[in-house]
This record gives sequence, structure tokens and C-alpha cells, in this order.
Amino acid sequence: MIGVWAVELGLFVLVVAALLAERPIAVGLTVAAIGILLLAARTSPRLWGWVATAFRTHRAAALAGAAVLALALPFFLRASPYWTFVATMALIYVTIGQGLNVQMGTAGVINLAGAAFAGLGGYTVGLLTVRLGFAPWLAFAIGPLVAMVVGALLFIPILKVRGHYLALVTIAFGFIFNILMNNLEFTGGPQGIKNIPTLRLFGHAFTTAPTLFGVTLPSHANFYYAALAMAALVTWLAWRLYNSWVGLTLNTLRDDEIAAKCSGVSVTRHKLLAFSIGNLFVGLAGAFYAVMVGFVSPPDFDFGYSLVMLSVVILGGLDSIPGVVLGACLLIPLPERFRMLHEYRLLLYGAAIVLMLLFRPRGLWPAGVRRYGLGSPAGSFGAAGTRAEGVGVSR
Amino acid sequence: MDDQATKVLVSRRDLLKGGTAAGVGVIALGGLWRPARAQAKKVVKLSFIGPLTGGTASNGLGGRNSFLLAVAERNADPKSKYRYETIVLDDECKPTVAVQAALRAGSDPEVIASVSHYCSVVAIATVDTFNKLGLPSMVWGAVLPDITYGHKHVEITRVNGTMINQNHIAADFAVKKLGFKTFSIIHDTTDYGRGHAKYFTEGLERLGGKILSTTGTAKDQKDYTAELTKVKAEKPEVIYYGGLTPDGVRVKVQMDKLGVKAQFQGTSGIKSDTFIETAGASAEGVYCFVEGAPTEKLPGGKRFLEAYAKMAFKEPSEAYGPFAYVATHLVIDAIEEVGPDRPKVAQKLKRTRKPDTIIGPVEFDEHGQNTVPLITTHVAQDGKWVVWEDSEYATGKRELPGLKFKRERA
Amino acid sequence: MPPLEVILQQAFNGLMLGVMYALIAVGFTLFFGVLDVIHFSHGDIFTLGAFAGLSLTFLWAAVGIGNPAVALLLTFLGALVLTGLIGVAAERACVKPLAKAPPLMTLLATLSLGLVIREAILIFYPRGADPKPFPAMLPQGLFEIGGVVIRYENLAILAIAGVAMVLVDLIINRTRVGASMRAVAQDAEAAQMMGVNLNRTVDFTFFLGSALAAVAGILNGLYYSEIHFIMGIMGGIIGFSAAAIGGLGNVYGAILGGLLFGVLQTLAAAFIPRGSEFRDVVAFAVVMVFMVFKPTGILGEKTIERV
Repeated sequence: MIGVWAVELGLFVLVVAALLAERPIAVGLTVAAIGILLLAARTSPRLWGWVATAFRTHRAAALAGAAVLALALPFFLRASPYWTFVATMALIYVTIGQGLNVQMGTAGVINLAGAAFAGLGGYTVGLLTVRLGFAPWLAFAIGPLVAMVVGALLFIPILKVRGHYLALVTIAFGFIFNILMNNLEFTGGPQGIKNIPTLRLFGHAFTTAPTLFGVTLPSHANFYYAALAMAALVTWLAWRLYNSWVGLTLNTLRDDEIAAKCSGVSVTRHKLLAFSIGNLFVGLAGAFYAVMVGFVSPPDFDFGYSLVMLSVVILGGLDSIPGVVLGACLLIPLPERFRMLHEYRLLLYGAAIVLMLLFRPRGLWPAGVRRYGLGSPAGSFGAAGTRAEGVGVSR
Repeated sequence: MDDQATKVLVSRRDLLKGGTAAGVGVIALGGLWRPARAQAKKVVKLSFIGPLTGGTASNGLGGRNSFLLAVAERNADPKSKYRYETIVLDDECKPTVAVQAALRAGSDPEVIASVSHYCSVVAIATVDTFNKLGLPSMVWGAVLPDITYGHKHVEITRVNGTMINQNHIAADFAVKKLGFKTFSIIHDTTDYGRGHAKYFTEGLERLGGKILSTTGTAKDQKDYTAELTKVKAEKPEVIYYGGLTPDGVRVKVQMDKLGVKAQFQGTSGIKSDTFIETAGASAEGVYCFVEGAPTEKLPGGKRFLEAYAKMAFKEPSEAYGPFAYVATHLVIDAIEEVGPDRPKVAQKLKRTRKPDTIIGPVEFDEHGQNTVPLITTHVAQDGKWVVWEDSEYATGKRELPGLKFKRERA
Repeated sequence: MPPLEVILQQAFNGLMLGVMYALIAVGFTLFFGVLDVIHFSHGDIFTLGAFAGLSLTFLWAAVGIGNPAVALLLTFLGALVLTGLIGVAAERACVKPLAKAPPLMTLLATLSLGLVIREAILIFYPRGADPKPFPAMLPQGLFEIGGVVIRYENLAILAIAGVAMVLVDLIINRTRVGASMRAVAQDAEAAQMMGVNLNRTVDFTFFLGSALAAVAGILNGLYYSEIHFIMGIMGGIIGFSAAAIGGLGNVYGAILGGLLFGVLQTLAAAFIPRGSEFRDVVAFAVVMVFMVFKPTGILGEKTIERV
């Protein structure tokens, strides 16, 4: 157990160093450390195996340790509101990623309009608070619901549409949403909606800098902790869903719709369910973004961001809940870290993704094989159950 | 491995205790930890934010180079009290990215001021961010009026003019000076294009010019044949385009291909060398309006261009380079005077007055907006932007295409 | 009701735009037909084709090939081969290694590759951020029929596009390699057992599709006299949409889809009040409605899956 914590602490130090290193020597050392670790993981299966086993045996301890470190992160980043903001964005993307993963990973329903559904959540909050004077919390609660309902209304007529055709329909929806937001007057046109009021909790406004344990953190730490709670909740829900019968049913839809139908699965109902749950999560993240930044505008929700969201899920590993977390925590800070490369930034970012995919073609943290039986979490009593090969859309 | 042993021994309560202890320990560690910083010399950092990638990158790169030039000059100056370091950030012309860039600049306490933004949509988005950070930001290229007039923050100032003055003068020029009466307006649907269309319409209505139609088009649209065919049927004397260079080129070139016989009038967004290079022969006789005077004609323009050439940048300075250059100098002037202290610098910058910059006299109003006394009309003549007064079109030696069409029609 | 000549002129505008989309869409549909993948960097391959063509025109001018017809022919040939080879390289780098991975992985890999291509043009092409003038290499001038303005170069562009499409059709339906492509499209394993070289067939498909994108890129340059490094973004999205609306894997469907998109965009901009602002809304909305009734595209295979 101490070993697990030591590994986590080591990774944490590395992450903080990777985020904050500014001077060339520090950057070089961090890069070298990451390189050595990756190399070690690749060349020494025994080391890797030991770490994996340790984490599997002490899952509770590992989670507790990770939680403590996540809670402690703002203290280390407090000199830099910027990196606190980036860390918060990563958590928002964890939330989005879990939502899209329910759709694409678990149920095989492609959604290339993630940004539009996030935008529906965000714009709802903006319109309700600024235009109609709703209380921020109320608007914040309605936002995700709107994303869910609009998604369902869009989806019902096109239930027969599948795979890449669904990609087309969602791309179309994303563009329509964005153009409408940009060109309609009541949504504020290209300037969007400004001055969205922030949330307050027990009289504490989220824009005031919090003081914890006698240390004053940047005001963004409020949102960091809120986003941490949100991401944790959504990840937990996604985990429960994945391990439930519904999750298994959704997997069968993804792998073979006809076979699923034969076995008495209601394809329509389950697809709609997965799509709605996913959009609820994505909309929640969008609403959160709106209250955090205080404004929403069309360029925040354009097709490019849908692709970033998609990348988080795919790169992490389809249908893999920890994979989504890893994908978001890697893909969101990475381009920010690349900022010092100026105009070469996006070029290298694209190349980095391609390389990662070539080395890990199933994602960075692929979904494990589902195991059923009398099993402990480690499945030490042997796996007697389905082996779900071929994650993704059946080819 | 002592896996088995610990597994048996550790109860849930122990876990909780251990976790709490570890948590307190880690947090305490975080509290003790102080980021180390090099303090060898008194270093003051300045940030530049602009579009370095994407469709408007050429303007952003020109601005960045001009910023770097100004900083290099001040570092070479023995009278400077501080050594200036630079942080260059890309806003990609996207609000979210810009907010992150502003945060990044602001979260470094050594950054005392920022020279920020070419795109209006981005500049308006970061106004509140700079205010929250208390970081003085001088806008060097964005022209939306609200950026300075939409709030009361002390941090935001702007060295270039707004689109209001530009368009009222543009309407004046077209109606009174050239005698055009009918206009079709095309604009991109960003803040920039919409704003221009709005203020130009205002100017025209004041002067009795007639607007036949107003058409919004997406930024980076490729095909304008549908819109132009529609406009052609209205037979306007002038087609006004409110937007930036890439789209401006397309509108003008496709106008000619479709045989639309009207004068093309642009805004400051098309006043770039790229417009003329790309539109080629189609650019001849196009006119547009820019704040200040052309770089070569500015009081210190020649010196600026020479210094710029010496730095051997890959990209030209473009129309707004001199503004970025002046903004950088003004910011450094303020820091030299009141010291590297953000609130003091902000106060100082808000009411900047300087009679002798390379863009001429600078005087900020109570909103921190430069009240630029001068808008210059440019016309494309033989592959160059020429100041209207110096052009052969003004002397009557040549005739603007729009005036020729008008004469032929009559 | 607008006058007839305006309607005809707009229809012609739509046709020209649609032809550009169609050429890109055919590439998407070929890749999908043979490999079941969406090659999302195809839009940027199209940009690359245009820039390759532009660079070659400079090269021919530098070596003193003055005859415009010769220069044009050489530009096409050179850009076709170059872009085709880059397409094959893209396939080898990003598509084949992921053949066994879930298809969405290929989507992300090609998407990222597209970003790399786009940014590489921006950075490494001299002043790549700016729109670039494309030389006029086709006969200039115009004539009018019943008030409709038609440029000679537009007719030439239509002719070249038509020839390209007919050639693709002939290659697919009349040649040995085309037969291999069709065989792989139906069943890759069975085709291999019948002696079809899978790797070579896939390579050829990507060569063909990418070369066609180069044709589209050059025609785009000739038609608009201007190219820009970001033109592949919308080009790719609409190209894919056109291929899907026509029915993925069906070449005629892709052409039909491209034309549909071009005409829809043009008509929306031309005849709906404020339509220009909402032209893509109209185009995409129609696409969505189509999908409701034709879930696998207009000419897509009907999948009757019943048990």
C-alpha cells in the first residue's frame, strides 16, 4: 500500500514539475524523467506488472491517495492561476469525456457534436441568468437538462442512422448550432453572452479567493474543487453504469445490434438512453464552463472543440473509464504546455497524437475485458464470462 | 512484496486514518513549498498576445515582430532601468484560447503589462480577465468600440482607433467626395464585420446614401458567387465589404469574374500587402480606410521600417505593426516612470499623452481610448497601397473603376 | 420571383461549387468503400494538392516552359503524382498501422495528421498564413447567353472535372486494379484468397483518391484564382458530408452529394432572405432531413437487417 502511494506521489511530483517547469534545465529534467519512466514501463514488464498488481490489490488505497493528491494540487499550483485554470479545464473535459464515452465507447453511438451539446448547456445558463434573471444555481441545473432533451429530440427521428452516417448527422447538428448562435440576435450574436453571474455556495462567491489551512489560493481554485467534485461524481456514475446490466446491454448494441435485438434488447430505448445520459454529462460540463468563465460565445463551441472532445475519448481508450480521465488530463494541458513552441505548437500536438496512437492503437488505457464470476476485483478466481473483443463500431 | 500482509492488516478505518494523515502531510508540504525564482537582475516581463496561427496569423506575426523590435530597442538603450523579457502568446483568434493566454500572462507576477489582441472577438472576451488579474493591457489592433467603451476598467487601453471614426469618414468619402449614391453591403458575421456594417450604415443614413442590401457571410467562406450574383442584379454603384483580407480578396476577385460593375470599398481589415499580392490586377482601384497614416508616412515610420528590416524577420509588419510597436514603447515608458507595479502602470497608461510617437501624437480619453486624429484613405494603384491624396486617382489622372462604370451607365 | 437569368446564373454557380465538392467526396467514398475508414485528412490533402500545383507553376515558369497548355498539363500531372504519393504515405503512416484497431482510432489519427499537414503548410510554405494568388492558366474572357455570364475557364474546369470523373469510373469498372478494388470493397478476405494483393490495392485506392483531391485543389485555384491553407477544413467536412449523403462507398452517390451540397448552399444564399448567413444551416438541415428518410445515403446500399 505504501508502494502504491509512493508511485502516486512520484507521478504527482512529475505532473507538478511538468506543469510548472519554466527554465530549460527544469524542462529538460522533467522530459528526461518522463522518458525514463516510459522506457522503463516498456522494457521491464516485471516492474510494470508489479505496479499494476499493486494498484489492483489496493484499489481503495490507490483511489484515496489519488483523491488526496487531487485535492492538494491547487496548493502547489497556487502561484499560477493559469495552471489552476488549465487543471480545471482538464476536469471539465473529464466530465465531457465520460459523457461521450457512454455514447461512443459503451453504446457505439458516434457523436461529433460534443461542443454543440456543451454549448447548449452553457448558452442555457447564459440566457436564463442574463436575459431572464434566473438564479444561477437553478439555471445551472436546467442547462444540462436542455442539452439532454434537445439531444433526444434530435435523435428520435434518426434512430435508424448508424456509424459514419451518424457522424454526418452530428456534424451537421454541430454546425447548425454554431451558426445559429452566431447569427441570432437573442443569443448575442458573435459576442455571445457576457457577465454570466457566478455561483455562490454558503455565501461564498466562487470568484473570491478561498483561504484553506491558512493558505490563500487563487480564486480559480474554487472552480477547481467544484470541477473535481463534478468530474468525480460523473466518473462514478459512468463506472456504475458500465458495471450494470445496462452497461453490458449497451456493449451488445455496439458489438452487434442484430444479435442484441434477437436477445430481446430494446435497441431504440437503450440507444436513446445512452445518448441522453451522455449529453446530460456534456451539457453539465458546458454549464459549468459558462459559470466559470462568465461568458459564452460561438467560437467556444465550434467544430474544432468537438474534435478535441472526441480525441479525449479515443486517445484515452474507447469504453475505458480510467482511459477518459487519463486522456483528458493529458490532452488538455499538453497544448498549453506546448505554447512556448509558438507557431509549431499545433503541428507538434497533431504529431504527438499520431505517435501515441501508433504506439497504443487501442488507446492509452484500453478498456479491460469484462470479467464475470465469483471474482474479486482482480478476478483472481478466474474469468468466466464474455470476452468482448473489438471495441468500437463493428466493422 | 508484502502485499498479502498489508491486505490483511489494513482495515477501512486504518485506511481512513492513513489517508487523512497523508493528506494533511501533502497539503502541509504544498503550503511550505515556494516556487523558486531567479533574481539575478531586475527583470520585467511583458507579454504579447495575438493570433500566431490560423487565418489572421500574418497580422499577428507582424504585430509580434514589432513588439519584439520595440523591446529589443529598449533593452539596447543604456538608459533603461530594467531588463525586459518577453512572453509571446497565441490567442488563435479564439476567445477561450485568449482567456487562457491572458491568464497565463497574468499569473506570472513578473509580467507587468500586456500588449494584446488583433481580433475584436478575442479582445472583448479578455477585458474582464485582465481586470480580474489587474494586469494592464494595451490593445494594438482590435477595433470594436466596446473594448474600451463597454466598461470602466482601468486596465484596458487602446492605441489604435475604433471602427466608428473609420466608417463615418468612409461614408463621407464615398458619398460627398466621390458622389456615390447606391451601396450594397457585404460583411462577415464576426463582431468585426457586423460592427463595420453597422457604423457604415449609420454614416450613410446620415448623409442620405442608399443601401440596397446588407448580406452577412461566414468568415473564411470560399465561394461568394451566390451573394455577388444577387448583388449584381441590384446594380449598386459601390459594394462595401466589411471583413478581413482573405475574404476581401475572394469577394473582389469573384466580383470581377462575374462581371459585377461596381466600385469595391473595403475597411482597415483589407489594408495589407497580402490583399494586393493575392488579388493581383483585381486590386487596382480598390480603396479602404486605416487609422493613422501609412507606415512610410508616419513621423517615425521610416526609422521604424529600417529598424524592422534590420531585425530580419520572416514576416512583414503589416498595417498594425506600428501600433503594436508604439503600444510596447508606451507600456515601457510607463514602467520606467512609475516602476514595475501593475496598478500604478495601469493608472499611468489610462491617460497616456505623448506627442511624438511614430504614429503621431497619442492622447487617451477617459476610457483609455486613443483619440486618433487621423484616418487615412488608401487606394490600390499599380500594386501598392497609395495614400489617396498622393494617388493619380485624386489628381484626376486616373478614374476609379466605380466612377467609370457610373459614367458608362449614365 | 427573381428574373430567370438570375436563377440560371445561380444554378450555374451552384454547379461549379458542387463539382469542386464532388471531386473531394469521391476520394472519401473510395477510401470508405475499400477500407471502411473515414480518412479525415483528405480535406488537407486537397489543400496540399492545390499548393503542390501552385509550386509547380512556379517551377515550370522558372525552367522556361512558356506554353500555357503544356505548363497546365505538367502542373496537373506533377501535382497528381505528388499528392497521390503523399496520400499513400498518409495511408501507410496512419491508416494501415491502425487497421486492426477500432475505426474511430483511424478517424482520430487521420484527423491529427490533417492538422499536421495544415500547420506544415502554414509554417513551411513561404508566408503560408496568407491567401496565395493562383495564376490564370485557362483561357480568360466570358460570353453571355440570355443574361447568364459564362466564363471560358468555367467551361474548361467543368470539362477537366468531367474527364477526371469518367477516368475514375473507367479505372474502377474496366481495369484489373479496379476489379481488385471492387473485390476488396465487397470482402477483403475473400478477395485475398482469390489472389488480390490487398496492400497494393489499398495503396492504389489512396493514390487515386488523393490524386483526385489534387485535381480538385488545382481546379479550385483556377476557379477562384486564390488558395489558402485553411481551405481544406470546410472542403473536407463538406466533402465527407457529400460522400455520406450520397451513400458511402458509392462513387455516383458522392458526385450527386457534392452537387447537391453546392446547389443547396448557393440557392440558400441566393433566394432566402438573410440566407447567406444561414446557407450552411440550410444545407446541413436538408442533409439531416435526408438522413431521416435515407439512413444510408441517397444511393447507399439498403441494409435490410432483419432476423
